[in-house]
Amino acid sequence: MKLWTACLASILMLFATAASGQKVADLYEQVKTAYQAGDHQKTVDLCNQIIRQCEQSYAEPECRYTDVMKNVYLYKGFSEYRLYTENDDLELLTEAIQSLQQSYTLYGDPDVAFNFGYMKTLRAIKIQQGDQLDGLVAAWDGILGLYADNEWKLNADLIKKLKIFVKQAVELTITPPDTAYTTGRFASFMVRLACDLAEKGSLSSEDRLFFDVYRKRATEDNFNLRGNEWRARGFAAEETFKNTPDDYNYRTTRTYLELALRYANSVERQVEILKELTKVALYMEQNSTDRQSESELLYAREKAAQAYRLLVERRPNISMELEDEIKKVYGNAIYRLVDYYFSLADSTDRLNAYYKARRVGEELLVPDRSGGWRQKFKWDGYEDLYLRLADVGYETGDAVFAVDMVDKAWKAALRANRVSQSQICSGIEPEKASNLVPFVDVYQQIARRFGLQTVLHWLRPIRTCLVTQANLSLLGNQK
Amino acid sequence: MNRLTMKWMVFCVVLFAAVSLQAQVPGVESDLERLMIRYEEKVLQAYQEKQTLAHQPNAHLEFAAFDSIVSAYTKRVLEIYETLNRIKGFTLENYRQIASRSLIFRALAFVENPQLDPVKARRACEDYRRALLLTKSSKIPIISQKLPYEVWIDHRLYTRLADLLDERDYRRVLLGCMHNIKESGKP
Repeated sequence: MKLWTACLASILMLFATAASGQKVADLYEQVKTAYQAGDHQKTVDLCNQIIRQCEQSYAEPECRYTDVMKNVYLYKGFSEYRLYTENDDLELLTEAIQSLQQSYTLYGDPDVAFNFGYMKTLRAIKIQQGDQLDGLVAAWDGILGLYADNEWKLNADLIKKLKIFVKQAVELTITPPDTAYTTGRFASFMVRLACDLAEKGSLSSEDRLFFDVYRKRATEDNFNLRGNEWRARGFAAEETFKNTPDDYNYRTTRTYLELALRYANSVERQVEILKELTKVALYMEQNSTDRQSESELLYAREKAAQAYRLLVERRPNISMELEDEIKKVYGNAIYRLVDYYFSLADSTDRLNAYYKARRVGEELLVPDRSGGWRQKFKWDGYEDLYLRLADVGYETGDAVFAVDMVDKAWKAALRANRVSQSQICSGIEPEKASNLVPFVDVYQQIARRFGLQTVLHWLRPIRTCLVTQANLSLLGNQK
Repeated sequence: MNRLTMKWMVFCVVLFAAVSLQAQVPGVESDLERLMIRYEEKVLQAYQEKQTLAHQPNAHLEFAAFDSIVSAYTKRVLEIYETLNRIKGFTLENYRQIASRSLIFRALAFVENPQLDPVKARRACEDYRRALLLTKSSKIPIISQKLPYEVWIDHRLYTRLADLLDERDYRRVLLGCMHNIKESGKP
């Protein structure tokens, strides 16, 4: 038995010797050939064989040559990376990083530093660890080294690397949103450094635009790269959503914008995103076949109300333009929800639907000085909300509310059309007259229902004038 | 063409070559000096940027990343300083001051983290000592000189490194380094 074991051991030894019999120099030549031929697995195997052989027998001269060994690790690292791109196996990426780091330790090539930095960041993004910043540090060290190697001038390759660096810094900062533990300030700083460096070279218009855009994203909203990037992605998704308003695009846009809201620093930015979310939900409700009207409208109302609350609390921080937009989307969201409940009255419990519509509308109403109600603010289209609420009052039989609302709707319509009541019969533009006719019609309808004879007496000549003017427009169009 | 003209031409060519060579060396120096100043600005920029995270909880990974960037730029300032030293055989006061300030900023970056890393503290001491050694011939110590730029931290303006050291090295690590030298007698 002992004899057999000894025989087996000697045979194994013989095989091992035969296997390691090849010289490192020959193996190195084979590695070069395999690498150039794109045979990555063979390159890795041969490099591993060289490394093992050198660990066992340091006597071979190639094992002591820095130029040979740094290349062995380099070929191994790059081949492992290629294999990783084919198989998506993270272990291969980790191996590649280690190999390149080993090569860099032997020979401080900045290009290698950039590459393993890039791979480290890629790994951090893949494993969703937004706080692993050492890849960015290594890649930046590599870029500075390459810049020095190139006599402190930028060439096309360096600009390409800077762009890769910027994209990775951004991706790392936002990936994934729930585990991005950093404040994003470091990544923002690195993006700004990269933009500073890029601006020292002569850039094509496309590259200049790229760096300008990312500098802006790294600077705006108190250097809030993360929030700004989500905002940019949200706006881009919104464009796609408007072209194809389906559920997927809607969810994507909402997710990005909600992340932008979550990471927004300033009140102005929060308000802007809330406004955008409202617009997206309203658009979905109006244009998509996948819509769930009530939930989209409720969502829009909620976001718009949040924006308005911020506007009221922190008005000095918000521009006039943004203020007007918020009021418009808030008013619009309320109007659409009122309209939605109003239209439900056809199919469901009538009174309940009207009361629901009224309750929603009342969110925008405050008492006025004459014992009635007025809207909290004027917005572009506020006369329509008054008119719809007047309809609600009519249907529910609330005379005071209906008359109050229709009167305000009529006055708001006059104001919106820049027409004075006294002018109507002395001639106004036909288009304005046609705009005003529905208001006076509802007014008359309400006056009739609640027996307001004097109001009817007052409105009759006004309606006649408006209809005459509007018919003129109709005739003009027909001609 | 007579021989005299030929001689003149050769003389002119040699003279031109000599002048060009002479002119090239200061060109390299001024380029390096410009780069050194630019990199010192980056050291300061990274240092100041790091300060914006001072009140952020759990920013230790970002602190470490900023330290690496401050260190990367300081390393390059020192490389340029060494190169200028090799070109000339000596260095100007200005170069020494730039190198020294960069070292002090790096030392400060290392010691003011909420958790003091002993390795970084040791490196900070080395930087601080080296900075003081570099400028020991200055009439006014480097830390007491007026800085050539403004340093703003937490809405406070610092115009001398001494003020920064007093405020930012709140554990007195760097002061301790010099104290240890005096006690042991080693530089």
